[in-house]
Amino acid sequence: MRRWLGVSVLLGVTMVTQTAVAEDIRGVTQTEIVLGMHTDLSGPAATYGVSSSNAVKMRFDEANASGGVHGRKIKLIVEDSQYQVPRAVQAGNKLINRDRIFAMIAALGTPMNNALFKEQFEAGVPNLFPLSAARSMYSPFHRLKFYSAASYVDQVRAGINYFVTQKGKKALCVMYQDTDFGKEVLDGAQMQIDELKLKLVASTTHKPTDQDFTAQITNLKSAGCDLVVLGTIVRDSIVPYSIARKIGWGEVDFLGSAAAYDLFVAAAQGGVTEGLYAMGLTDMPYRDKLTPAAQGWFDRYRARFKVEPNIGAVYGYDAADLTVLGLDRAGSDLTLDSFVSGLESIRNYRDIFNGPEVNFGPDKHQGANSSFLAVVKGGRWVRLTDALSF
Amino acid sequence: MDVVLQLLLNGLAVGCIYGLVALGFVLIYKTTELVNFAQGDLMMLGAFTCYMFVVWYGIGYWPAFALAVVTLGVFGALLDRVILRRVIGQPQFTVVMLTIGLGAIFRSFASMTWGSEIYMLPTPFSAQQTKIWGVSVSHEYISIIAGTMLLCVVLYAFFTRTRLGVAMQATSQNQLAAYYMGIPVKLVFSLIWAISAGVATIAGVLLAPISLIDANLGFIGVKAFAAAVLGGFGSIPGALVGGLTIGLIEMFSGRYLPLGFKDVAAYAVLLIVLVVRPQGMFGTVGRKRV
Amino acid sequence: MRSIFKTTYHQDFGLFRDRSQRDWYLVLVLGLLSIPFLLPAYLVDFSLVLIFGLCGLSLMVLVGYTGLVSLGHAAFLGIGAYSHVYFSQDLGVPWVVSVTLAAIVAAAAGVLVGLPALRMTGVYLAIATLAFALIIQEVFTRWDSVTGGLKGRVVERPVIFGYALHDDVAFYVLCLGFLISGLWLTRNLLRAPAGRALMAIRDSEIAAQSIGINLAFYKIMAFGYSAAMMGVAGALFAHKVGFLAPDIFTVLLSIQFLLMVVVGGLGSLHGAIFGAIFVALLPVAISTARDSVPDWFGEVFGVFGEDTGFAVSAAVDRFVKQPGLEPGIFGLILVLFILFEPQGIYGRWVKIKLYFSLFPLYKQATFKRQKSYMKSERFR
Repeated sequence: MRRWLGVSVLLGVTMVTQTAVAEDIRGVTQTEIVLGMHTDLSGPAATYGVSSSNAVKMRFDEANASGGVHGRKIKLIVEDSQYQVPRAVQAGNKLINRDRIFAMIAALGTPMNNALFKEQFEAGVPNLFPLSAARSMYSPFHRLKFYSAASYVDQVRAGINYFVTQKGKKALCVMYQDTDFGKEVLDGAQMQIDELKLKLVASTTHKPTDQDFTAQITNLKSAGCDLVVLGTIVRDSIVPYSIARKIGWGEVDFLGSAAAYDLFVAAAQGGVTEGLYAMGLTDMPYRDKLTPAAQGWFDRYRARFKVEPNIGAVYGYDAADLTVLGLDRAGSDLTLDSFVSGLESIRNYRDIFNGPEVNFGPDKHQGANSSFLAVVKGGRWVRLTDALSF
Repeated sequence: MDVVLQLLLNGLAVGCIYGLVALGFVLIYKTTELVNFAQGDLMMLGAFTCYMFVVWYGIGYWPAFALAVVTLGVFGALLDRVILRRVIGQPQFTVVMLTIGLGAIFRSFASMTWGSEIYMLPTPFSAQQTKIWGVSVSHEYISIIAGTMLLCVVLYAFFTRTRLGVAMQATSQNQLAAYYMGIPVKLVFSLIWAISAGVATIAGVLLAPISLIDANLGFIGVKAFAAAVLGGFGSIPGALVGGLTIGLIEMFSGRYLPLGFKDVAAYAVLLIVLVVRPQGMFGTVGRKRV
Repeated sequence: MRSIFKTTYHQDFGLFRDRSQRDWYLVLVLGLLSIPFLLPAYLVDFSLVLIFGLCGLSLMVLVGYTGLVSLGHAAFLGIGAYSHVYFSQDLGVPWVVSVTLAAIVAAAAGVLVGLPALRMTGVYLAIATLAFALIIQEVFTRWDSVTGGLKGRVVERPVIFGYALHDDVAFYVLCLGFLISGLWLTRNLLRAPAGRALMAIRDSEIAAQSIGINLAFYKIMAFGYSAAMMGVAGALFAHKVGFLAPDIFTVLLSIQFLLMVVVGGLGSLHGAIFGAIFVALLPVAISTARDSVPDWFGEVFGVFGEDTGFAVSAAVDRFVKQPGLEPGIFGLILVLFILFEPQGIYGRWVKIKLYFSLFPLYKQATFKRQKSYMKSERFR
């Protein structure tokens, strides 16, 4: 008796199927736009993830405080991917399917972004201004991919070109993370080295979680490099450079990509990163060097989050600013198409951090591709050149 | 020749760190037969504690060092007393999972208290170098090697010359007999945990100037674990020898083998040694008479 | 309280204890089939539960039933995933054949690990499997032509017998089918003499040898079977995640699998499933709770006045949104389980069932461990 009761109850429940609610436009209602972000809040890239998500939040709150965009407030949902692909996929699933976001903004991590592209674009969710400068963020061209700055390949090529043509470096080496970010840097270096008809003298790899780099530096030193290109983020930029100086290797120069262009790298205690080069995209947020508008932003950020903003916050702010501009240009009838057209109509945009001019177009979804050289002097990044080309 | 000397020296220094953490593993395993996977995270906590004393509270380097060792020692003893006492009698694997869980809690605690940034520990011998036989050696590497040797001498003297040390050796050989001889076995366990945590702290503080402190510092524990197994789990000199071996292999394979083999070489050597001699280099084989 | 009255041998070793138990499992299967309609938003998470269930089964056979600890099982998952993708996408092999081949390749790898492992015990075995897993991870990264190296590979939707599985519901049903088959297969293995031999090896190797069990054969079989099941799970996992990269299959993933079997309940198939539910759904639960818990706290404390309510809500929000909380919660739950419920979720489930079936005669001392001593594992 009991078992038949159980069976029939369950069959009855199965009968009550939920009909799928057809949504007009995903993530958009009369009063609200839902945007999503998956980033690293607690893993190896947390310095970027936390600051960028804070800056995006702040920009959206400011937009909401002045009435939103065409009367719609922006709601941001942030998920922690811990810089791991399966978690990023899980987080992305939640954002796309359960929270039904309109667009993904400032997502962090090259493999994380790559993994979600298929599902994202099938669901019609644009990927806006991710915090990853891999080429796959805008190339091959896809209508829903938007990226606003130089890729790692662009940056590294420009930097190597400068050092070889202006500083006469000849023995080029690469030290890169064993990840696809590191591989991008290696590819960019190799491309430029081939272009300049030189040879890659040596290269070493390491895992992002590695703690000790003595082996790699010893290896590079004995290969006789005079320029080492770094495919590294924060910790693995500081430690190898300091080890190199510690073992008395003074004649070599180290060049990092924009991933090494971070406040913390410059401010490393004991001046261990003095003389480290990196490619930069925008101003570093040192309050005294910022434009007045940016100084106001700096103070607001510090007041709200109790820490000073770093470069991740700058990228996050730019991403959010461009998104708000795109939403505005889309008009009050907000659909996916009007939003994409709105973004594509952005011309001559300049951010408050002296970044390069950003232009989009119907077949141009990489907003800018220039970068400049900076060096660590006195614990701070100092801009050395204008936009470099290759 | 220069290169080889440089590699040798750096390899010894890195190997000493692995050896110190492996020493912590082996100390605990020898006495209590527990494998403590949280050893690397204890090292991380020790480094953070020393940083906190030096930078936040402004105590000098050496007093802060000593204070950090004592603090972590007390913490290790408390861990044993409160948590590990309860799981006596459960299969070894379950207790290993317990220590893995504890390690995760320590990492989480560290990233909540001190944030996810990277910290630098100021030491009295930062960024100085001397030239030995034409090889430029940083004082930090020398401090690691010197510190390890000093610690080993102290521990050796402790275990062989003092009553407490001999009592610990007795407990590790046969618990029941130790009970009969009136040795306070439970207290000895707590003390072993305290010493092990202290050793981990020393390793962490010595490593901090080179590797910088952040919440993921404990992942060195995995390599140190391999070093302990290589040397024979249950042999104190084996732990050090294992650590030095792994350090040297890493260094030399990074230089002379193709790309990416650096990580793999150490583990490949480990596998080969284990296949040939399943109890590690200095381990002892126990057999039960049936 | 029921008493089981057995009259045939078949009842002793049969799959189900009696018809009532069989019917309840049927109801469970029907319930699982109705999940796509009841909770469509969480469907992908449930698919992951099913895949992790297969992984848990595989590890449970090795760790829970044979007593061989493996710290590197994520490597087999990776081998299965990459082989399947290589066979089905690069070589154009039909899907079913590709999955079978992936299982065979993984099983071969398992036997490869099992052979030297015959001589190792306990912690040495664990470290040897760990070393193996790290070497395999490196192989994934370097073997560009097959695995795509660091750039990773995109995995397409499964195409079985010409049908492309476009939507999530079909994939979910596929995973459910695989899990049920895996459960049935493993259950059959375990109630056969082979399974009893494995349990004998776990309990005491010397005693097992003395009654004539060939240790080498059964240990290798355990490794091979476990690895084969991981290989199949790997093929499904590849489709689920959609993008394969070498840094998915790390030591941390292996440790998560171990966590699964320990928290679920070591030594039972139910434990594997409970553990899979726990490990796959806890991150989902945490991220959902993260959004709603601060408001809930605020409402509760709003009783004491609006300001306190708001302050409490803000404080809890700051705490909950802190990065690094999730691994801490996992670790904390693991520690609490081991301290207070060493038999895992399934153990607690059994106790609850017994409580209700014996009501009101249940004695708390039924499951209490006697005060025990440390049994040395050096001489097994």
